[in-house]
Amino acid sequence: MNLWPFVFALFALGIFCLLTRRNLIKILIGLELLSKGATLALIWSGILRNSLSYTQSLAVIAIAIEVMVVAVFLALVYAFHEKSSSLDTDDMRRLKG
Amino acid sequence: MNKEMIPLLLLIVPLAGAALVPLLNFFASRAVPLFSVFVGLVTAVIGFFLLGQIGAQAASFEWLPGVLKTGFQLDTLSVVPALIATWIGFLVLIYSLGYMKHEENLSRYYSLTLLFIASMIGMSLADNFLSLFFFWEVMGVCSYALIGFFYKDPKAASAGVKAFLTTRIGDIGLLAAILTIYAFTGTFSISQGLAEGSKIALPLLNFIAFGFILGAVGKSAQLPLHVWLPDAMEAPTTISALIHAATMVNAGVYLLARVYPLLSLVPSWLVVIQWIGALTALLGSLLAAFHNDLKRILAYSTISQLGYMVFAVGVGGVFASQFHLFSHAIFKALLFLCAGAVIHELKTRDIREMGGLQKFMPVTGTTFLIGALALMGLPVLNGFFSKDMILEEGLIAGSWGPLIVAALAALLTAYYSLRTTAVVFWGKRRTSAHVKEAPVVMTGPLTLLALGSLVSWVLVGPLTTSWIRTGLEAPHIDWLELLRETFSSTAFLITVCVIVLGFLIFYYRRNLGWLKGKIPAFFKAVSVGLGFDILYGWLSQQIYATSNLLSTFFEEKVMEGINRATGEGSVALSISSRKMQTGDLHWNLLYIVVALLIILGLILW
Amino acid sequence: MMIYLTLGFLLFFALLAVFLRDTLLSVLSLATVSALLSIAFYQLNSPVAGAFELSVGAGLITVLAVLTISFLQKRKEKKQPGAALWLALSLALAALVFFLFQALWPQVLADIIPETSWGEVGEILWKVRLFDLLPQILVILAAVLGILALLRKEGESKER
Repeated sequence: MNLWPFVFALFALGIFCLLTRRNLIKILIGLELLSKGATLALIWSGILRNSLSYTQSLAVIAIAIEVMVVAVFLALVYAFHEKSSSLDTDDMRRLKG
Repeated sequence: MNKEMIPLLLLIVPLAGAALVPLLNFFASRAVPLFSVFVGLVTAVIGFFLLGQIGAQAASFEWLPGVLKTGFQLDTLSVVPALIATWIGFLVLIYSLGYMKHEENLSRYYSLTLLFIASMIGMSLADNFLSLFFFWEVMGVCSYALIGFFYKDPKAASAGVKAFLTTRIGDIGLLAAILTIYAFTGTFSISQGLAEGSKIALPLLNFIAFGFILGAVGKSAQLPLHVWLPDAMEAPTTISALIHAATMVNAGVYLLARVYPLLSLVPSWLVVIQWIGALTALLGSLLAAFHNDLKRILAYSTISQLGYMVFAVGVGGVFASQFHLFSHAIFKALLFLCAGAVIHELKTRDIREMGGLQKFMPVTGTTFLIGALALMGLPVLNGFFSKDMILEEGLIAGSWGPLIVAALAALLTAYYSLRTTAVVFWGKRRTSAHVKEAPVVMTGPLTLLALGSLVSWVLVGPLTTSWIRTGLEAPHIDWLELLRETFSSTAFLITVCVIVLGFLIFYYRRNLGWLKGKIPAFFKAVSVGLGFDILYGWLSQQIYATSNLLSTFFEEKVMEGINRATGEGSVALSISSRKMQTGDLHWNLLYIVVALLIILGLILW
Repeated sequence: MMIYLTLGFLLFFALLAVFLRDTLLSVLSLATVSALLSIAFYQLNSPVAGAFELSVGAGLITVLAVLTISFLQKRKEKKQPGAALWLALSLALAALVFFLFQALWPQVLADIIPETSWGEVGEILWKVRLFDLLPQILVILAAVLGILALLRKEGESKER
């Protein structure tokens, strides 16, 4: 049994999503996929190292933090939409050097 | 009371007094002078107890384990300066009651005075080079603050700065010497350092000796660095008395005597010390003979007397130097306090405006005469015995060059003592000011000091009893032997000769008036202190200008260049790197991912 | 191995979530991913992480995301096409999740996977990782403050 390919697939999908999609909600999804991959990797490493209880507690913490991130991200999206009534990342160009 | 605590108490009482005076000033500012005098009295009484402690083992305290263990060293050499500081300090404090009555900021004055006394006590009793240096510096700060006590007078303020800076040169030497000793013996303890110092190689020993001599020269106002002392006359006269008689200038002589075992290992430096001392004595007495400012005359006379003490250390007469220090403290304090009384009445320091004051201020006049005679070294006054002892040591050592110079200085000393007394107190009155005798709080100390000047040499017995404990040779003599030896010695002849000569010069001084027309350049040079001040002023100006130039160069070329380079560099960097900021969110995300990958790689690697 | 099947489904829904054009649908796919992940956790004999993933990852995040999207689209005054269809789809997805959960749960106990219990995990969480929990509380507070700041009404933030 080897779950590393799935972990890497999740990561790859997440990064791909982050880098290519222009919709802010899609970027949220990419972020989520990344963190799910991380959680899976945690659990799997716990199985491999035979310390599942410990990694589970870590995973619980990771999930809780993930929710915070999502909540703040959604609030950001909302605020951005209030200002520019758009969800397109191409409209976020204020940081251009 | 635990006997070991006496020296500690002697140090702590004036320190605590210095700390309490400003506090007391809040509640009862009028009680400050009396409180300070009380503290001085307690200190003086403790000082009497200390007299019985000479040679005892004192308590010592470990401040930094293994590095600094400091305590008190109780031998005659250290106790005598401490007791001079206590007793003269006490008399000065009493005198201040009258002298400083109408001044402002009295709490500052008394607090600093007590601190001054305490630091001198601490300095002389220290058995450790570090605490010696600490109190040495505290004394420097006090002298700075007290010389500039009338800080609204720019002359006084700059005199304070001058004293501080000039003595600083010496302090550097002292610190360097102390640290070198520490580096090579691993101890700050004075007795151990002196004992193990003989193992240090000669070139280094030369350097150490030079450092100590520099320190003493700065503090005791010897020849190259004497310029601060005359200017320090801007201080209140009481402070001048304290500096000259009890605290500041004695420190340098004490230091030389203390480290004499080291100095004696490098005979060439001893010769240098002899010459420094003798030339300083001559210079001081020469300048004193031609000045017209009463306090400056006394200042130059102090310089010359300190020169004697340094000369005595140079010829190996450590006891003679300390004995003269003891005598000098008494008669110089007396002279200064008399001068203070006169200046207080007349509001001027120019002796040409005085004259004929004996009739109006009989006590002051008489005591001043006693002081002046002691300064001259007239037989059976204390100055006579100690000066004679110094000359005798010079004779024994056979260093004729410095000895002749010193004898010449003694001649001039006799002349200017008489001249000053005569111009100030005798002759006809040249002022119309209403003059009356000083109050009892001022004449009381004067009388006591005059008595001291007459009889203090009797104490030679107790002083020599425990002298052997200092590790320096000196036979035990009591006062009868002293009398006999002094009057039968060759030095006695010299003393009598120079005094008689000085008296003759004084008597026929009008006949010597033609000299003034013959060598005007000499008189002009003397009137500006032989140009030391001008030379140092020019030197410091040059140093200042050079460093100004260097700093301007450094600021405008080097630092400004660095500033401009950093500024322009970062601008160029930002221009080139702004292309990375596309403003596209995805590029930022890519950077983040790449950075994370790099960090991950570093961790795994 | 059933775990491969679960994870295969998971990857499929993840692809859907990334490539679907409709945001609401992709968010729902993400919820499915979460649910499948929690099933996978159960299969891997780690029920605590599974329960958390299901309740928080699949539940809370989806609710938040759907709420936001619906808010934004209402502001846009866009017509919501076929609300019933979405409802049906989500119900079907939920049923699928439930079915899979029911079907897979009893049989996943593989020999190599160690047993864990809630008590054990809780003990570790409270005793070993207590130091993490305390900052986590701070993180939650910070998130709340951040959301409050971001959701301020435009009129209130005029002073900027």
